[in-house]
Amino acid sequence: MGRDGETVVSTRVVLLANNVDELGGAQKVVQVLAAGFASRGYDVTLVGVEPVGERTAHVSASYQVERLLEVSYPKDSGPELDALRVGAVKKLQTILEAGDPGVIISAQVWAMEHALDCDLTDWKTIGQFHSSIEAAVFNKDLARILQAYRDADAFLALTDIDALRFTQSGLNNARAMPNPLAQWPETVANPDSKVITYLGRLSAEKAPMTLVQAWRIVCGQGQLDDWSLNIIGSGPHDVQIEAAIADLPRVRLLAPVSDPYATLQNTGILAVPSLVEGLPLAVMEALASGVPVVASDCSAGVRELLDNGACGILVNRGDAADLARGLCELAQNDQLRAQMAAHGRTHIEAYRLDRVLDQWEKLFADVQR
Amino acid sequence: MSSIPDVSIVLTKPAEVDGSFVDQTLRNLEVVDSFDQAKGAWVMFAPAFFPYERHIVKNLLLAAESANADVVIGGIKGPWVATRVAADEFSDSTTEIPATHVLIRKSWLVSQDAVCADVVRGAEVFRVESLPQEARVMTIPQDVVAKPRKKAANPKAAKGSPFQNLPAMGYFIAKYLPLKNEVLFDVEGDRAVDSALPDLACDWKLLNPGIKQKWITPKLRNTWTHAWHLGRAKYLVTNEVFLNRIPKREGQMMAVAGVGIPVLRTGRDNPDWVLQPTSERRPAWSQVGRWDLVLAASPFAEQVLRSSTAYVSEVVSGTIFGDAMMKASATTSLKSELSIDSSRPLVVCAFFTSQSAPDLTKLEQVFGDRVQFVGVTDDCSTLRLPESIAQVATDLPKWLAAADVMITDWSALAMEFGRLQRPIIVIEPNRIDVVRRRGTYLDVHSQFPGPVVEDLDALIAAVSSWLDGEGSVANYAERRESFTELCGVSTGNAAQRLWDAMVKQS
Repeated sequence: MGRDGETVVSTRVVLLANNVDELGGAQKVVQVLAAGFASRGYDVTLVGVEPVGERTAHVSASYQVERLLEVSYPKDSGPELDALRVGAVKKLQTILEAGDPGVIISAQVWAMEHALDCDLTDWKTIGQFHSSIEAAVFNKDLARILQAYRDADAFLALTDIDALRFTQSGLNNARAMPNPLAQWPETVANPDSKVITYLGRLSAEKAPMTLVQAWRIVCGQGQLDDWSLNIIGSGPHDVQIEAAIADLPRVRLLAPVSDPYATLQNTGILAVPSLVEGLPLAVMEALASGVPVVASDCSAGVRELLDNGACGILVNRGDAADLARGLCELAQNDQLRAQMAAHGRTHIEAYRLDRVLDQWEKLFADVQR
Repeated sequence: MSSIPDVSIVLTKPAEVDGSFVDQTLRNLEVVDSFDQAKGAWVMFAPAFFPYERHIVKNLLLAAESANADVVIGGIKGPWVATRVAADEFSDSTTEIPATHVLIRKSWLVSQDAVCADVVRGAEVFRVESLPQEARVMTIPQDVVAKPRKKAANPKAAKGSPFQNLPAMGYFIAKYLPLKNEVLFDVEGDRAVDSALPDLACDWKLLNPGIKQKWITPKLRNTWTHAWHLGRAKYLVTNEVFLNRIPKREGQMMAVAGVGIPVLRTGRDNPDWVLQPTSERRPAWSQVGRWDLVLAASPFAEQVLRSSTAYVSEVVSGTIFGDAMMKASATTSLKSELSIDSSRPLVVCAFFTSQSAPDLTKLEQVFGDRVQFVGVTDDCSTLRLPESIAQVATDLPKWLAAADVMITDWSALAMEFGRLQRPIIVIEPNRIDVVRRRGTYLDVHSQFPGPVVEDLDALIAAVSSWLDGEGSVANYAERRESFTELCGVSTGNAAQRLWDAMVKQS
C-alpha cells in the first residue's frame, strides 16, 4: 500500500548496488532508500554484487540484504572471473524469481550490467547515476551508462540539468531524482562559530589543496584572523596536505568523522573546493544544519543545492584566489551568513526523505503505465 | 493496467502483424486500424513497423499531460526541454512534421475539422500552419525514430589487433621494451599556434644534447614509426592531442606544451563547456587525466584550464610562442628580415578559420597604399585574399612581433598578440554573439584592447582612426595592460622551466 492508502501496483522493490557494505556515496543512498521504501510497505531486497571489506551490519530489519558473491572478482579477466560472473547472475536470477516481478532500481552501472544478463520479463527497471554528467564523462562511464540504461524504463540523474545533458547524449528516458537527506538535524549550528570546515576525501577531484592555497592567500592578506580552518578527512593526498599546512596558522588536519552533524554544529562555513561533484551530501547536511557554504561551481547539483548562490557562494572551480575571496566575503559578513543559513535550511527541505520518497512513488506509478 | 488505454496508435498502413510498438516503455497503449476504433484519450498516426524509439510514446504522453497540451511534437531539437510553442514560431524548415512524430489529444482533434480531416485520412505530414493559434502545442527534444544499435564489441577480441591495425602492432611490441631516454614531439602541427613548438625542440636540444628527439610530422602520423616511438619514448610532448587509444606506460611523462590549450579555449570555452559531452569533448576528458604537466601562459590561463577540464596535475608558467614572439620583437630590423616594407605599418588579419574571415579585398583597396596586410588562420586553412595580401603560416611569432595592429575574429593568436600591448580590432559579430550567449571566461566587449566592429565598413573606419592616431582604437590603451596580464607575460625561459619540471617529476 502506498502512503496515502492507495493501492501500489508493484510492492516488490529490488535495489541493486555494486556492494552493500561500504559506508559512502551510492551505498549510503541505497540503504536510506531501502529503509524508506520498506517503511512505506514495499517488499524491499537490497542486493550487492560483491563483498567489500567487512560486512556492514544492516541495522534495519525492514528489508532483506543479499550479496551475489562471497568473494570479490579477481582483478584480471579469465576463467575464474567468468565463472564468478555466471554465478552472480544466477544468484540474482534466483532472487528475482523468489517473488512477483516488481521494480528493479540499479544504483550503479556495474550492478545493472549484471541485471541485464537476467530474465527481466515483467520487471520494470530504473537506472541511476550518482554523480554529474561531467563526472560520467571524466570517469569514462558515459558509454557504459548509455549502453546499460538505454532500455531501462527510466534513467535517473541527480538534477534536471544532468537529466537534460543525458538526454542530449542520447538517453531518451532520463529524468531527475535527487538523493534524499536521511536525517534532519533539529538544532541548527552555532551561528557565532568561526570555523571553516572541509569535509571529504583528500583526493585530487576534491581539490583540498586549492583550499589550502586559498587559506594561504587569506592569511597572506591578513584577513580572517579570528577564523580557523579544519580539514576533516583522509585519502591519497593527506601527506601533501599535512606538509602544505605545516607553516600555516589556525589550520588543523583531522581524522574523518562518523557523525557529520556533530561536526557541523560548530562550523561557521563549509568549504567545498571540489573539481567534480554530483549532489554532494556534505553540502546537503551543512545546509540542513544551517551552515552556509562556499563551493566551487563544479556541477549542476552544487548549483541546485546552493539555489544558484542564494544559500552559499559559488566560486570558480580550481581558483584558489576566488575561493579565498568567497570565504572572506562570507566570513566577514555576519548578516549574509545568517541570511544564507536560514535560506539554506528552508531550501534543503525539498530533499528530506519523505519528499523524495513521494517523488519515487510517482515515478513507480509512471513506469507501471 | 487500466482498461482504457492512455494512447491509441492508429495504423495508417496496417499490416497483419504489427511489430512497431511491442517494445514501447508505455504499455498502456492500443494499436487500431482506424480512428473510429481509438479508445485512448491521445492518438498517434503511424504505419505498422515504424521504427519508434522505445521511450518516445511515454515521453510524448508525459509532456502532454504535464502541460495539458493539445498537440505534442517529438524530435524538435531547438530548446532541449519540453517547450510550449505557437504555430507561427516554428522555423520554415520544420513547418511540415512527419505525422508519426505527433501525439494529439483525441477530443481536440475531433473538434478541429481541418486538421482532423487531413490527419485521419492518413497524411504523411502534419502541417504546422494548419494549427489554429489557440492550440496548445508542445515540442520535446527526444528522438522519435530509434537509432540503429551499434554492434556490441566482442570482449574477447584482442584490442588493437595487429591484423587490423598495423601501428598498434608496433606499439604493442615497443611497449614491452624498456623506455628510451627520448623526447617525442607528438604535435598536430596544423595549427598556427603550433608554429613555435620547433623553438621548444631547439631549446631542449641545446639544453640536453644527449637526449634524442623525435618529431612526428603529419606524414608520420599513424605509422609504425609513430607507434614505435609512442611506446618507447620516456618523454611525450604535445600541443594538445595524444592518440586516444594509446595508454601511458609506467614511467612515461606526458607534457602539454601549452601553446593552444588554455589560450585557445579562453576564447572558445565557457563555464558550461564541461557539461556538454559532445563527441568533441569526450576524448578531451580522457586525455586530460593522463597529463603530468601543462605549460600555461598566465594565472588566468591556468584557471581556465583547471576550470574547464578539471585538470589536477602540475602547471608550469610560461609560453613558448610568447617567448619566441617577444624575442623577435626585440629585433630592430624585423620587417627587413621578413622582406616587407619597414616604412609602412603592418596589419595582421588573424582569423579562427577561413570560413569565418571576411573578404579583405575592400580593406586592401582603401588602405593598400598606406598599410601592409598579411593573413593568417588558426587552422592554417586558406583565406580568400587579393593577390597583394599574402597568407603566412611559418615564423608566426616573428610576423606577430612585426605587426602594428591585429584584426581578428577572436582568433587564439589574439591572446598571443595581446602581450605586445598593441591594438586589436575584433570583427565578425555573429561568432561573438554565439559565444556570448552561452557565456565565456573572457568578455570580448569589455576585456579586449580594441573595438568590436559589426561589419566591413565599421572595420574600415576603425583602421582609419588608428592610422590617424586618434579615435576608437587609441581609446583602448588602458585595457591593453590588463589584457596583457590575462595573456601572460613572457619570461623568456618557458622551455627551460618545462624541461626542469619534466625531469623533476620523472
